[in-house]
Amino acid sequence: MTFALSSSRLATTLGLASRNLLQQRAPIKHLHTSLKTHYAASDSPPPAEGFLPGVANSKFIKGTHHDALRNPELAGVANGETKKMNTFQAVNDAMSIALATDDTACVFGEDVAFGGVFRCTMGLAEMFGRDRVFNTPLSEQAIAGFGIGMASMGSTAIAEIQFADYIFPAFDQLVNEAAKYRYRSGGEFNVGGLCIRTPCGAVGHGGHYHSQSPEAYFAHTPGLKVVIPRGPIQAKGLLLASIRDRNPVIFMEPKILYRAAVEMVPVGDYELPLGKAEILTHGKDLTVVGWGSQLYVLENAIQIAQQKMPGLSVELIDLRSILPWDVETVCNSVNKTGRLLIAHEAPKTQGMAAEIASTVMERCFLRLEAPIQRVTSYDTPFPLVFEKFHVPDMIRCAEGIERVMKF
Amino acid sequence: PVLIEAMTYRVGHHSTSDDSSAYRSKKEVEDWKRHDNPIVRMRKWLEAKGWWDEARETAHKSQQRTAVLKSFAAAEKRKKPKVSEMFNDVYDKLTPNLIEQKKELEELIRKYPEHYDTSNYAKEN
Repeated sequence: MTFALSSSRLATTLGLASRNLLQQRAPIKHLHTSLKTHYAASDSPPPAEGFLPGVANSKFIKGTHHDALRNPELAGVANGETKKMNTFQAVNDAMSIALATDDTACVFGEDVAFGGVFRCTMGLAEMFGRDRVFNTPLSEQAIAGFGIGMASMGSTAIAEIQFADYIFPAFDQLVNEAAKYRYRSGGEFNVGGLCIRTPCGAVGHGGHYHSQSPEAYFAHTPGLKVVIPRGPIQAKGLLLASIRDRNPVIFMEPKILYRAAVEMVPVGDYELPLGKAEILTHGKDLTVVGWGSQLYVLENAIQIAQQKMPGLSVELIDLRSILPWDVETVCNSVNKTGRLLIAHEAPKTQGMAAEIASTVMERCFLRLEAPIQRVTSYDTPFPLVFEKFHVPDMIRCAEGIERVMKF
Repeated sequence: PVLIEAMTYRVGHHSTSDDSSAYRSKKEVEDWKRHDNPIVRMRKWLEAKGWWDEARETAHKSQQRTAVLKSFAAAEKRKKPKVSEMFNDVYDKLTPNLIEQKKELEELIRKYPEHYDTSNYAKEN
């Protein structure tokens, strides 16, 4: 699939020339205009993983060794080294460790052998051999089916779907085979060793088929697990946990974070818990729930809202696992604050926010001070030229915060 | 009836995000470009027939490049479709949720014109 041209020159040779742009720092006056500056100034098309300059300034990005290791969930590697890694490097590191510690593990998918279109599999074939890290035909159904077959024989199958938008030919395999494997055999067989990794989410120029966030389709399927990390440290730990979890897991990596998010990541072998949300900031007035790249948008939105409502104290939660999701942490928070806002990039109707809102309504009805706000993309296919109007940006999220606070 | 299956070699990268030297040698690409380029073969055949020459080649290339760049420039100046188009063609007609969301967006654009810059988009009528 080709990306739309956005430059005034005919497309020339090396797409990688555009990677030089990522070394430049746009002045970050307004998050929304800095993106315009990048595109206007460039002679080359934007890189596949886009730009998100605000992430580097986020409080949630652990840019120093000590900052990173202060996390109690990393207690197991608290005395170890950390190394500067972006998200694709962290994902690469996790797979390297998985391949090194599990003889049955294989990594496969389209174009993974040379390193992958997002470099997530760089060096793995060289290090572990082409019989363990290999390319598949252009068939997502086959990738999933093959992974299911491998996992059913007790091996660890780490399959890549090149873009989450392409996962639908594999949907039948994932829903009707993988998800039901353990159940239909009464526990005699399972595909616990299966992990499907796939880049997801908006990237600035992805259009219909390089921008989707399909977590809701899979969250509706008992038997699967769905995980979405917000950065390198989380990605490595959650991916290792997902690979080793004894259930088929779909691991969705927000592609815009591949280069944009850089942290000091522990080099050791560590896992982060599935099914557990993480409270990023504690607060008492409002609970805000998000995942993946949306958390950085929410961080900005909260700042905007706090300018309008000084003293506003917000509890921001990274859901991390979409299925099963951490009902307890979210409901405890709402029971404290009485107000909830959920934001996600997927469209509104039947998005994951609907599930969260319903459950919270059931359990926290009398505690709620205002209707639960959902701030999401509009109910259209992901548009190309209208992307910035389509997604739940920081302005819309800030508006949502105002609405829920002033009810 | 005749069916022609024409086998060819992809000289260019897969996309503007691809650097194919990561998975094939540059020499391989150069060899194909030089030895088995169907366009070059056609040109040599035309030249052998006396129907084409270097001068025509140069002039034609220059003309076409100008025409394409001119077209490109004109296209780039054109406004993008009006923003309300985002809600069209999801279905044949707007459904209630889309009508509501369209209204919400209109109000947002009105309230935050600096943030939602519509100057490159056609005007709403």
